[in-house]
Amino acid sequence: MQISVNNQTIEINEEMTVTALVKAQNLNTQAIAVAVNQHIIHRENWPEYHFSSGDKVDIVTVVAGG
Amino acid sequence: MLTIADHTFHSRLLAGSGKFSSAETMETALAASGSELVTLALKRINSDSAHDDILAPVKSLGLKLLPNTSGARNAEEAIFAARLAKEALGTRWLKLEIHPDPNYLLPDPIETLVAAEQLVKEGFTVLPYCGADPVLCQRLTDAGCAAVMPLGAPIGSNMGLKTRDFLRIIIEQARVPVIIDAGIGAPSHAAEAMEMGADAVLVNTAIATARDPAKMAQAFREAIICGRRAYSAGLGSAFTGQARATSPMTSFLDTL
Repeated sequence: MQISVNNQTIEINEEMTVTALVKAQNLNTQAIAVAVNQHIIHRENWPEYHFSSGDKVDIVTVVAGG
Repeated sequence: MLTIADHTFHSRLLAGSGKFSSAETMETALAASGSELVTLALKRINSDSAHDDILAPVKSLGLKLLPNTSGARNAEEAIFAARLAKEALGTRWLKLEIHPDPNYLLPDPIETLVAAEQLVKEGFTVLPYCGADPVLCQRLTDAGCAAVMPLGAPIGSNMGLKTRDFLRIIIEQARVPVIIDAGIGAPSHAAEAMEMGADAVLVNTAIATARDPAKMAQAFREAIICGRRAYSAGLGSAFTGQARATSPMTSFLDTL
């Protein structure tokens, strides 16, 4: 199935969790946040959270700013 | 001492972390500034680009984090950004900024108030960046904001306190700390803000883009201390009319 991650469409299998997605994206998990369809997925729920086709996923991190 | 919400700071200088040429330069400048509260931004991750590890140098200095909602164009986006920031950093402190116009980056007062009201309800400690509007600052205070952050001039302009007459009113009426944000381009601007009675200033561009950021940070640190000390001492009244003698007006010259 397809989901959108930070506005880029990707193909994933139905078993993929947030934890697996973050790992697959090769992301540093420190200080990141994940939202699906604008709902925050708390870190403790990453291992159990499965995506649905068409989900819009936002993954953000902290950068320098004023 | 500066108290915002339930937290007390020794420094009245809030520092921004943007625009530094390197993480090392930023860390050195932040250390020299003496600041205890530093702003950060949020960004969607691009897995193709190098990870910007801003947290390591900030954490090494033991600074309190103040994520912002820069990039938000309305209240809905800002509230979403705030929730993401809380999840990413584990802090409820937030610099709320909403500027829909990319050219002037002026804050939207209506969206800012709407977002502030919601975020306060959600338990955030909200520090809103706003125009130098005394009525708006009162409304943001009524909404439960922990401080107000009126601008001195547009973001990154280094123009100084172009809004000074309105800042004076905001300070006079303040029931929460007033932090002058944006436009402060020189230590003299920061000193002026503190002499006026501002509780703190936030500086980013002027330090980050200086030839020697650490030295500039030190200059701001000293200027803010001096400005606050002058405010505490009580500045003499300024007169715009006749001169007022500082020596006795004797007539001895007439007798020569």
